[in-house]
Amino acid sequence: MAINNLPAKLTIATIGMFGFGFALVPLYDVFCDITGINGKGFERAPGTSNQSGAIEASISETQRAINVQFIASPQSGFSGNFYPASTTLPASLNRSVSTAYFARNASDKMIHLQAIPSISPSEASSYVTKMECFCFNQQSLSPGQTREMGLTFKISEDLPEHISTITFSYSLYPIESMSNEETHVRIDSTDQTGGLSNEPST
Amino acid sequence: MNETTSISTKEVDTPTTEHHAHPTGISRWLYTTNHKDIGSLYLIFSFVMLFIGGGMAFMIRAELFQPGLQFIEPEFFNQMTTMHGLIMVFGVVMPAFVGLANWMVPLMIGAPDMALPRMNNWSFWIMPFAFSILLSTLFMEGGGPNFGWTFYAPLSTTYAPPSTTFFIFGVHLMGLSSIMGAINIITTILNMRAPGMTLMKMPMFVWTWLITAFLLIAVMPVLAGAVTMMLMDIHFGTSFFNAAGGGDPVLFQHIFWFFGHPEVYIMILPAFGVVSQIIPAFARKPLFGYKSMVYATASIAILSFIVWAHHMFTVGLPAVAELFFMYSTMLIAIPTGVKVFNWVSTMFRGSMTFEAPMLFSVAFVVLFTIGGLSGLMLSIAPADFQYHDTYFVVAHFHYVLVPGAIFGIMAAVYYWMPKWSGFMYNEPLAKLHFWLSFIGLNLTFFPMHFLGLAGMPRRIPDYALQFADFNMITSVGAFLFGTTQLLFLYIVIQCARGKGEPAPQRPWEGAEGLEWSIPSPAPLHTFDTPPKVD
Amino acid sequence: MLPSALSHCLRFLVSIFALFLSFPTMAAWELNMPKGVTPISETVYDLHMIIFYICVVIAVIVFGVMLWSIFYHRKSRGYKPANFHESTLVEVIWTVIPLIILIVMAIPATEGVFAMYNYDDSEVDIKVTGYQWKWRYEYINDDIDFFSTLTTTTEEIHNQQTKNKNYLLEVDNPIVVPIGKKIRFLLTSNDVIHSWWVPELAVKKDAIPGFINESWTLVKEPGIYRGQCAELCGKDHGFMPIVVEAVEQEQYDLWIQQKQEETALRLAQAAKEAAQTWDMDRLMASGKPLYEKNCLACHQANGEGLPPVFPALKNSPVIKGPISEHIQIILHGRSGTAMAAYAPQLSDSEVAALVTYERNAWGQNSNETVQPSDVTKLR
Repeated sequence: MAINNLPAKLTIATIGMFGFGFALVPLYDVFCDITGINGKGFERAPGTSNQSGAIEASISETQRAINVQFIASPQSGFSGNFYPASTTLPASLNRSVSTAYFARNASDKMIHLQAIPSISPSEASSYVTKMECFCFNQQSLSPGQTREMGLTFKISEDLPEHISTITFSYSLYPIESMSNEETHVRIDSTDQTGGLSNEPST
Repeated sequence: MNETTSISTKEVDTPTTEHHAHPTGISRWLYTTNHKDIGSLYLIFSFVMLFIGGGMAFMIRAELFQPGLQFIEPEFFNQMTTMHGLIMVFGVVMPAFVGLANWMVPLMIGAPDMALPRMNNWSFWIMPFAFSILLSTLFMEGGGPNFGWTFYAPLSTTYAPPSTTFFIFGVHLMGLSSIMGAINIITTILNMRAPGMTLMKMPMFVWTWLITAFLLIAVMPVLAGAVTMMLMDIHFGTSFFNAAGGGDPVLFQHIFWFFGHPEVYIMILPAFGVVSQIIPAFARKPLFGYKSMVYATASIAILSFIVWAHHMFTVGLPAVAELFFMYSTMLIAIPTGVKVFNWVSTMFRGSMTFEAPMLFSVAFVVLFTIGGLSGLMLSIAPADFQYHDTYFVVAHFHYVLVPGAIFGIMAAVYYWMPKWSGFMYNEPLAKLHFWLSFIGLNLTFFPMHFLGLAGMPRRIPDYALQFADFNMITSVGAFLFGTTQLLFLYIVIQCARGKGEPAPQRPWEGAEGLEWSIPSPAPLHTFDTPPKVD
Repeated sequence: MLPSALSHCLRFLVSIFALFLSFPTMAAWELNMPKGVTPISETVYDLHMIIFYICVVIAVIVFGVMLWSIFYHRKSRGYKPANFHESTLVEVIWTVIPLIILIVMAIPATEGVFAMYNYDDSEVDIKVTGYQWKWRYEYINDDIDFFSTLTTTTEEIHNQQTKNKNYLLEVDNPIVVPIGKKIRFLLTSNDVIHSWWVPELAVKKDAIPGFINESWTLVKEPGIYRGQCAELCGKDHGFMPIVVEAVEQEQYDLWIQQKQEETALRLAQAAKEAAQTWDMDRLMASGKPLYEKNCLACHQANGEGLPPVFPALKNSPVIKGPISEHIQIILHGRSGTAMAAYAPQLSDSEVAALVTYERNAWGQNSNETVQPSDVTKLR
């Protein structure tokens, strides 16, 4: 009974394509990860910062230095200030670099923040490993509090020759409350579960 | 094609006895499962929508007639551009082609009706509801959708007016209707062909619709997925496209254009089919390269799935992606070129006459080619950085869609109208309609190329003074083109009311195909006994 | 809105011919893309012209054959139709030839892509942030930060005043760049997607919220180059132009110095003003123009907004609620709305004046005054 079968098959195909639409979301993450397309493709290695000394020692012969720029974009609705400790730092390849961003709560309420990272040029992002980043976790600031938020990263020696400046950008978004938002946050595809179901770092 | 499909006209089947009791008045149309009635409903619906969408274009062009804000405020202007696009794409071009498919596919393959007649009724009657919902948003607090027909997030999510939920529901409904229509058409074509009507004997119009229907099934669900994600972002706190929650606004564009580019071909492939029927008929010479036409259509459909990001060259794709999408987009020029060359070869050394259907088809080939060539220019990624989101793009897609899809539909209406109504349309008026449309549309859309190159962005309600002259010409052209369509309405109504010469069974000397083997007007039921095709 | 628009259109139809005759010719009949003043814009222009000419040649051949047939192969001339309808050889030829043409086109296009994607070794880095509906420019290495908004007046837009020659393409603070230096733009957005486009630089890049995009330019000739936002970004998408002033290096250095001094001066002035106590008249007098410049586009002259997207201020909970909340919203904006943070744009006394104005204008007369010192605390 081909007549009855074909519409059924086509309906299944329709449902399948509806699913495929949603499957594009994780597929896109994989694609971004490979190409570094949205600047989120950096590798995340929390907790490995203490090993960086050993790495440094082992490959101290590569001393190509590049410039790292730091950009802060506080977004509408965040009552306070957000800025990097320094706008530019020199960095040697394969060495861990530590710096910080500052966030200040100017309101008289507790606020919750999520920083969204981005790296430019996007091509460079797959050569960046972040050992520590305030963007891994949501941040909560009590009224009037200023927090120094740490950032430790390392740039691989495989970084293509033509890149001599990398820009780290963070957009800081105010978030309603931690429990409501945390389950929906996707930071990068390599580690979906890691830093987001987090403990407040206050 | 008379070599591949020769029809034994002896087998004409004209039942005069009706099988069922036929309700009259409104219930005839409400409950109809007859492919001809449903085809007419689709075409009438699309015609009504043409004037609504055209009215919106009229307001846009009135505002842009001169620099400065004269008639409408920017907020309303944005709603007009958005609704104009949505209505023309989903309310005019797609239903018109589904209407043509309903009328003609069973007649062309010798089937008694569509395969799923009840679903056919359902898929039509969803449309008026979908578009009532969509149009009603204009009267809601905060106005209708104002984010462009491409509804890029987050303008369409976090920053959208409250009516967006209704817009999403409307898109779901029209998507449902298109998908059901597509399932019906595929099932009809694959299962209900008359004996001897092999796939490679099918008329080009049937072929192009078969391929279009597969495209619809592949991409309309993706659109449904995209708007569902929007709905979830707006109401259920997800962050698919919201950067604050870790989502990515660019992801929306990828999903949208994964639907959007095949959608463009959904709107043009059936028109390819129409002119592939009409040109051989009026050149009195078989279609050149039937097989390569089928393969070219299929290649265009397949390629359409891997070119989507050429709409996104400026969003910051990596260089490798730019190159990939540039090359794949350029490749589309090849099968499209094959089609154009084949049409020209069909005309070459034919014995041509130029009745209205042929005039529209010839204009289709010329103007669609211009739109195709500007498309080729747009595919060149570095140059696209200058063209992108300017009036050059507006000119390009209007050249593809107006003389492409819309002229295709008009050609089809003039070509098959005698079969539908049993009367000839008024040929001199139709020729006047053609020439006024032709002049109007070139006056409207050609200067847009210059505007875009000179630097006028699209979707702006007001512009700098150096764009004033061409905008004025464009507006005058648009008013001419728009008002001319009232003449089209008059011609169609006159023909439908029987004011004209009675049409013979085959009104066009060179026309081939099963549809000309039945009387004019086509009786309510045809091919109850399948015809024989050798 | 709809019926009024319709009646407008009708009125318009009546006057259409009168207008057509009386309207002065204002424009050059610009037909082509500008060649521009950067290496990339020249590459793009050349590419554009090559492809355009190829397209013209293809069109001439195809349409030539077609027109020939239309003139000679018609029934009215008694032409008898041929019956050929297939030729594999011909089909192969017209598949292969276009393929070769495409490859010829693809070579310079590929080079163009690589040239555009070479961001490195820039000498000036400018962060560009899109706002609904203005641009913010931050010179990363020089500590310069300013907003750039349209200066065309509403009277000009609504045809109550003659339009000047840079109508809709003029801003209060143009971005200044040195010629002959590689300039890198880092683009992001504070709300929806915008696109930063200056045709003569051939730079067009989307500014995407949460992400950073980059683009670069190297201007060869001094001059003023104007552009516009190219991605639909809401109501006033057509009213957020870009003006780039390219100058010699010395002038640029001077400008940097001036800009820095200006900022210092403004801060000192603001501090002085903030220390003063302002009376109602002074606050209202400076509040009104500030409201008109910064707030009017959305909240409207009568404070009634365009609800629900742009809420009314008049008698709203914010206006009637605590002053500190009101100040907070102006300073820091509202998440997920077009309400941006004004802290980087307005001084404490300006915010105080604005808040006072909004609480007393439109017949509300709450008699509340806000002092700059109230704002300082919340900044």
